[in-house]
Amino acid sequence: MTLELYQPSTLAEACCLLKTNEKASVLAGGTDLLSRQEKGIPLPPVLVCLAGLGLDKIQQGPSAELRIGALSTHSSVITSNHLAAWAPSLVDACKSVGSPQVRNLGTLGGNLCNASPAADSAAALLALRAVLHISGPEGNRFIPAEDFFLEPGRITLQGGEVVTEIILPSPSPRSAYFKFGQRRAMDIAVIGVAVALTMEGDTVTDCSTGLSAVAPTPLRARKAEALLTGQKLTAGTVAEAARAAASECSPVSDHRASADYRRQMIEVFFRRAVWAAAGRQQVNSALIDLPCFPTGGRQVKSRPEVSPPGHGTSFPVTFKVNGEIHHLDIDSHRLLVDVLREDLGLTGTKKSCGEGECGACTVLLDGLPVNSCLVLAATLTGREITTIEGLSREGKPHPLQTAFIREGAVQCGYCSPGMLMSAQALLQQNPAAGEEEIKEALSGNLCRCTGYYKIIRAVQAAGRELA
Amino acid sequence: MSEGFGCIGRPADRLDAWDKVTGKAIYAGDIYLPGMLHGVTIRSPFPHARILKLDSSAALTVPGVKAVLTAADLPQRLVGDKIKDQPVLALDTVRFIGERVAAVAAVDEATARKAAELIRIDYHPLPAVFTAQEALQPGAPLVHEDLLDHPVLGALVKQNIYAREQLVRGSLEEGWCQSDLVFKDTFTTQSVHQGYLEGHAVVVQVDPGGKATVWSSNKVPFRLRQMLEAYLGLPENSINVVAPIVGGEFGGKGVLMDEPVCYCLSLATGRPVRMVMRYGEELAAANPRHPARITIKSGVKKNGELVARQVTVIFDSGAYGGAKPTMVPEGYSKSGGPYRIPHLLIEGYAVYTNNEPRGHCRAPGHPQTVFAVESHTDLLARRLGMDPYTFRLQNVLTEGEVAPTGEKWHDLRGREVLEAAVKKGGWNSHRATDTGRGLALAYRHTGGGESGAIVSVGTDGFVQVLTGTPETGAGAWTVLAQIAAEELGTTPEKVKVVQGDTDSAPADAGSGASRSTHVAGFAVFNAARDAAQQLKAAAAQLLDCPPEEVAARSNHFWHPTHPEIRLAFREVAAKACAAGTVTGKGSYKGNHKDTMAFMANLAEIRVDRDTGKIEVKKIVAAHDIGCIINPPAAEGQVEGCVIQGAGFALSEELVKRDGKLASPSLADYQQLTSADTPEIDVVFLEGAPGPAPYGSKGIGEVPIISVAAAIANALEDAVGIRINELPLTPEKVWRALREKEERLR
Repeated sequence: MTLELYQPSTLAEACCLLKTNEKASVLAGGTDLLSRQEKGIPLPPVLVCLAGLGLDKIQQGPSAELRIGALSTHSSVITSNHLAAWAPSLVDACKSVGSPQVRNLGTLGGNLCNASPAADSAAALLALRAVLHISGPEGNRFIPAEDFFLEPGRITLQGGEVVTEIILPSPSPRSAYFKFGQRRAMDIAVIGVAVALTMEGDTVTDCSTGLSAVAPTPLRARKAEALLTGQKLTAGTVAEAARAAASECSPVSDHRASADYRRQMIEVFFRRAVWAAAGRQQVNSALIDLPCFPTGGRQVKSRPEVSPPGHGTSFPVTFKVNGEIHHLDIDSHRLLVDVLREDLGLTGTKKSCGEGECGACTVLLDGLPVNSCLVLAATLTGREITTIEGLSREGKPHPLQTAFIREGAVQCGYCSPGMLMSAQALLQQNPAAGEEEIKEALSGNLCRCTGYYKIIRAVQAAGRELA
Repeated sequence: MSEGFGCIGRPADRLDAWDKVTGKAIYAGDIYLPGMLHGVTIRSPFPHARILKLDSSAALTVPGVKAVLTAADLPQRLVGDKIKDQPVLALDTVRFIGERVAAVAAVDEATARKAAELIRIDYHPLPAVFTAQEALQPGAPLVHEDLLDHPVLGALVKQNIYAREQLVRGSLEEGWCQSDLVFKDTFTTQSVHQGYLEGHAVVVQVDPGGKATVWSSNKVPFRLRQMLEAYLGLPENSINVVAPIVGGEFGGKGVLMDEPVCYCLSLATGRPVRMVMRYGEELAAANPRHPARITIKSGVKKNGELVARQVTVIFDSGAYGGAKPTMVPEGYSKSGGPYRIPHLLIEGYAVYTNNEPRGHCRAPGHPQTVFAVESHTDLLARRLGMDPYTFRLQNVLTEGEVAPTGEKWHDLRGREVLEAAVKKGGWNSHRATDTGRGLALAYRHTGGGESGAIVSVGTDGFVQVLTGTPETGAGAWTVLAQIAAEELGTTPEKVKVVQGDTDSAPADAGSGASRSTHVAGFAVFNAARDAAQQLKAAAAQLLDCPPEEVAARSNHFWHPTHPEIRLAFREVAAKACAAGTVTGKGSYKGNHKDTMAFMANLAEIRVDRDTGKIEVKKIVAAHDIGCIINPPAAEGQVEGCVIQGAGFALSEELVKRDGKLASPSLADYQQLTSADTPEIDVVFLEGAPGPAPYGSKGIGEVPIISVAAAIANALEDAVGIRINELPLTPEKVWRALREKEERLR
């Protein structure tokens, strides 16, 4: 198996590579692309990695618009104070994606370009009337997010084009996104509804919406928007708009839900999203101060400025693992989990589902928990990785390890290394984390043995010791 | 119960925990040997088909491929436990989607997978049956025409039946006559995966001299050895099975998976071969819990007295039955419930279908049966206008009474666990809107079997326990250390437990059936007592008293009449060792079904009427455990079971269409996460002795049994709807609520 991996250092170079090589695909966060291998879908033969292009900034633009770099992770959206005030619905959506680990890897641009009908962020961005900045060999163009999706997995990008920014033209503090799923974490939406309102008093002066998992592409419920605009919000007007929204959708029946049920749930969550959006303050200072998961209040570390080593099917890579520098030649297609286990002998990191759904392979990448089964090792030059073997330093047990043993938080132990790394990331940031915060931070780590409580108690006990 | 004991009943840190929290613990998939190849299998895309042609020539030309095997290259034998009905690689017919058809070994996994795709197999699809109901229809396609001449199965196979069992007591006819009212309900439960995080993993190295070593994630190393040797036609002890730490199993790792084909790949290539099942393969083609359809008809008197019951439990066993150590999953036999029912008939069926073979899963057959029994119990109470708690109290077995299936158990605790659950969870207290409470009562035996142990004491006073029982996660080794320490009068920290391989350890029945504390526990208990005798003899010489009067406790040996005279454990160990090794041997074989472990769940839930989503607020789990040996480990078993049981009740389902899993991914196979956990209140009742050392009872399976029924009963209490089909998904609840509204309109 060979993979030709390009790690360009300029956008122009990336566009040119994509234009000239028909087989080339973009690698952003990798969470969708790399997880497909487990389902027997091979990687594209050529990948162009966009990580080194500086496309991960969130900043105010010249006309007061907010510009979100397409490579911004879901976590960086969640922890952005700008976005908490500008677009709480986008924060809602990003919080509902996968697990903390997936949110630390997956990017907003990747979520859009993957073009899943169920993409959470897409629904929020439609409601926010986001504009996508697309760069290509022919220059730049700007299209509304709404016009971006053609069908499941297909988007409007032409040869050599890349989404570089997601532009929010104006703030939408009164916006909310609701995802409906069976579980509180790691679910694919049964349906998702985003609503953004502008109001004068009780009257809606402007309304826009975005719905996911209701049609072949994410869509805006235009009739519903029209019905609400100019109206006072009452149980009646909201219910009528919700019915209209449901009628505009064409959901499918699948193993997650029937079409009929999905339509009914669109109504329910449309109503809930409208009321939640209306209930949000025009200027929501409270939200800015709200601690967020998993990296509450902390800016995600920007990537180190190391020039990536060009392209190939194998790369000389230099990275730090548990404080020790390693120089390795790594085949492009190889996953971090395999390199750790097979090349470095660090078998403490476990491999289970291979698609970011269990958390057994969790390691810290520059301090953030990620699924090491969703990272190409060849892209990691200059990065710092911590595995379970690096949790205790100088032979001294880490307070988390002591607490896991004392509280009976270990049974079969297969989830323990990943669980401990997620817990470590949380405690580094907030040793005083409460029960709900811990449950959320560990929600990307399945444990079949313990029922979680003893793990939660152990994290609390370790937190007390670290505080 | 820690009174009078040294370390029994006191929290003990797990012996294996340090290795597990530092990443040092070695699981089968962590074993990498020099020159090791990676094996993969090619699986059938058809639920039932004849293999017309199989061409592996293209695969063999891929650089790095070292062997490609098909059925023709393998021993022409079937594998299985009680019944051998399954080929290692499909012979001429495939019977489920995901059945192994060929295998490849190559220098790495990617190469092996690439080569596997080049194997050309032509199939002729055959008609298939996907549910037990379809399979039992007259004229249904036969899953096993090959077994029509089978000495045991023969006649049954004509009806696609793998096994049929029956339990009778009293006379149903008489029972119906004595009843004032008769009610019948039917329930169905889905197939769920055991959900362990470690997929099946095996490494095999066949020595050129003939001896082979197998490292497997299997939980029954001795049985694995026997099954492999039988299949390969090898003399006993040709294979040494090494069982590393197991990453969870919940019943799912007691059968042959890739081991036989991995052996054959190693034999064919002369190199060690590693095979690890992908999680998608686990979900689609391992050995999950049997789906079941349970029909219960009960006769009652108007005053609430149960008189008669007829139950039919039909399990969909999948394409092969051999994957499990019982014929009909034993839980069916509990469908009388722990109630006084004089007239009873239970029939259990295991039926062949074109699904993946169903196997053992935590309390095999029990959660299915008890979901039905305890939902039905609530329904009976409501139909009689009785409170479900009072109805249970009225009918629950009391001391001296005979169980519905005729056994007489002693020290019954059905009433006590019910009362404890109600006391802890509240029963009649105020319920908020759309909030409800549900009760369920169940019981189970503690499994039996055989085991052996060797306990040796060193000059430094440290103790080593050699056992053949694996550590699958439940904490068996730590309990064994506590037992050894208790009997020797030392502390668990001084005890090291070593799991021997099948070459070095005494034979052991393996983990399963809630037996480890009972069976391996007694083997260690006996071995430790043997070693203690030897130490006491040495101590007696120093203390100048008869050995049988020496007391061993608190790391000392004590003079019988002069408590100020004592000897340090280490001192005595050194003296005894100087005279010869101190080695205690113990074995145990037993299967006691004269006591049962009783349990009650009380669930409190809230229902979102708009969506149908059930939020479980709290689960109370009250358990008759006999004696707690390691409290955090016992609680851990209950808490884990409760969440697994809640997943069975609410969200987990291997959704299939025409035999094909809709989504072989943990994204859709919805195990509950930390964010979904309800409050769990565990109540232990000690004092009713069970068969394990110190009167303990198995706790590894019981707590999962009645969680789903308690939640279903809480659902009716909360919003007045009854759903007889698991799982209780939001959509099902929402539909039932809508139907109810329409009926009321």
